[in-house]
Amino acid sequence: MKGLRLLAWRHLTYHKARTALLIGCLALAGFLPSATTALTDAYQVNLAARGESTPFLVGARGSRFDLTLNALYFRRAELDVFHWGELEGLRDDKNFSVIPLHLQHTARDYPICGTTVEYFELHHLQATSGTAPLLLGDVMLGASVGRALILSVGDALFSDPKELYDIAKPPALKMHVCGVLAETGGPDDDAVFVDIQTAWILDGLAHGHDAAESIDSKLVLGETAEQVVVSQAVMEYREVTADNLDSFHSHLDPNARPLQGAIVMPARGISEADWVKASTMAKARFHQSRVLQFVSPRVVLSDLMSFVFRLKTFFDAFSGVLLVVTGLLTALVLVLSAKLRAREMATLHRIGCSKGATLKLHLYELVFVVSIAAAFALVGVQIALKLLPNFVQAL
Amino acid sequence: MSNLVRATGLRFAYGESEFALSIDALSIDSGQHTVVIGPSGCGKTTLAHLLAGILSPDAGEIEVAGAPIQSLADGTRRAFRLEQIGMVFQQFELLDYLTALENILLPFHLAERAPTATDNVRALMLAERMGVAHTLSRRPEFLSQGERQRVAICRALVVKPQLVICDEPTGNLDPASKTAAMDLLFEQVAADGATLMMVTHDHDLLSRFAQVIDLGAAR
Repeated sequence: MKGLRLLAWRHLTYHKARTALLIGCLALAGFLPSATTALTDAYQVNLAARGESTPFLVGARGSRFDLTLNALYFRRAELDVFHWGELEGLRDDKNFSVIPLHLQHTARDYPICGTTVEYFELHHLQATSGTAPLLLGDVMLGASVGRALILSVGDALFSDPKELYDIAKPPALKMHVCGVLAETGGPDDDAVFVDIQTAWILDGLAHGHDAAESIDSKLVLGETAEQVVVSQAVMEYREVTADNLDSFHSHLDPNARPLQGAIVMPARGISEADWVKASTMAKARFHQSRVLQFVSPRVVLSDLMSFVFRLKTFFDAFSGVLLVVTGLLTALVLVLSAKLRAREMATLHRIGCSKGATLKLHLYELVFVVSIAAAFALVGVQIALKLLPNFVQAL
Repeated sequence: MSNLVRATGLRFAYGESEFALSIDALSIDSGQHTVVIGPSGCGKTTLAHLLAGILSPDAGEIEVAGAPIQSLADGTRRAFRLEQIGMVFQQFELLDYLTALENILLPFHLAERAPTATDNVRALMLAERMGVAHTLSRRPEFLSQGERQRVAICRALVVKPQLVICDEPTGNLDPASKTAAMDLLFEQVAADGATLMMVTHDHDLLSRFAQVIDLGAAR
């Protein structure tokens, strides 16, 4: 550095506290509106991409936002359940393909999504190792989960028991890691996936145990031609293995099995016109339903974005005021500084410094301060964007 | 010997104040050492500022190194002062945020050019001769009064000016520092072949000068 730039830089570094305060104020004033805009844009892109790839969602009547955010982002909201049988009309319609979503459980605090392999096709999820969960007790890990828990194919992962001290509640299930997903940058990275049947085992609606004839007779409470009543002391299997796989069964009517949501997408080979017609009819049908709702994530997310933009408008106004106040404070500091430096400037003039040069000296200082503040603001925005996945989850 | 500084019919007043400087003729030969003395308020500093082109006279002509300094455009006059006139002040007027070396090289920075290798060598040579080479990386707050004045002298001499104007350069120095600083100043000015004009109250220094201008007597 040379000439007036060197003088400007030396003056700034000599008055460290004043310079740091100026830079901090300007960086904050620049960071707030930039970060709000960048985050809102990224949030919008993120939401829109996920929304576009999910044509329709079905869920129990309630908040459409909770349904959409839970089904698309595994947000931890309590969703009312509905039953597999209530989707019969859709499942039987050749125009639709239905992907069930069971979102009630967690493993090591990561959401467990019970679904079918069609889910992986819909979101173009690829495995970096292993396969999709095709067998009972298999679990596929999102990329971040695999990294965070240091798990890979062949390892085990326990589900989180709902009630640790209530033996009437289903115990934790030891699941086998069958695959790890490639990084997507989306919510799938932070979830684990099991087959829908495994999710129902987690609910306690399906189980496996020793065959009735091999159970200790002391634990048999009663016996008829159709069934054997055994004591609760009979241990259910807590792991699905090749040896006990066949013993897993459910006593529940398949149509009564619970779900928290279902993705409805066009069946393979259906024309655009048929899809529009069929989905319009489905919307009308579900509009009459008192039990289920049929929502378009794109519309729900668009509504959600309008809330976000209203919030952003408030932030923008706030940031604008902050920017003006910071600008005025900066001007005040510079004017006061110029007054304090009157003697120094007089000396420079007496030595031979031109008025233009002294003006340049002040300008260079301003440029340095604003540039450094802008760099800090930019770094802040980048950090904020790095934290975006968590930000979206938090919303 | 030719005149480096020549002033004729010089008149100057500060607005409505009673002060008025009036000099009919003044000349300083090239390489000559001239001292300006007189009681406080007689216009010694004003004369120094007029000769340096910091102030413009109400009437009269001033020529420095053949240039009609008061007729030059503001920018040209400042550039001329930066290159041809070295200034030493009573309060030293070093910039507290620069090191001693950066203060010495200040005229180059103000001219918006990087000091060349030759400039740096001259700065180091001056610092060595003035006995402040060991202070070059320190800021003025860490220098003694004598060291500050010697750094200020180095700054005035670093561009090899034709005219060196010192305004009460010993006013803030103790006797020992004063003698040392003046010895070094006279020695270096002589070595550079520069012309020296000093404003002072210190009559102990008069014997060092070839020409004495007593503004008190003139009034």
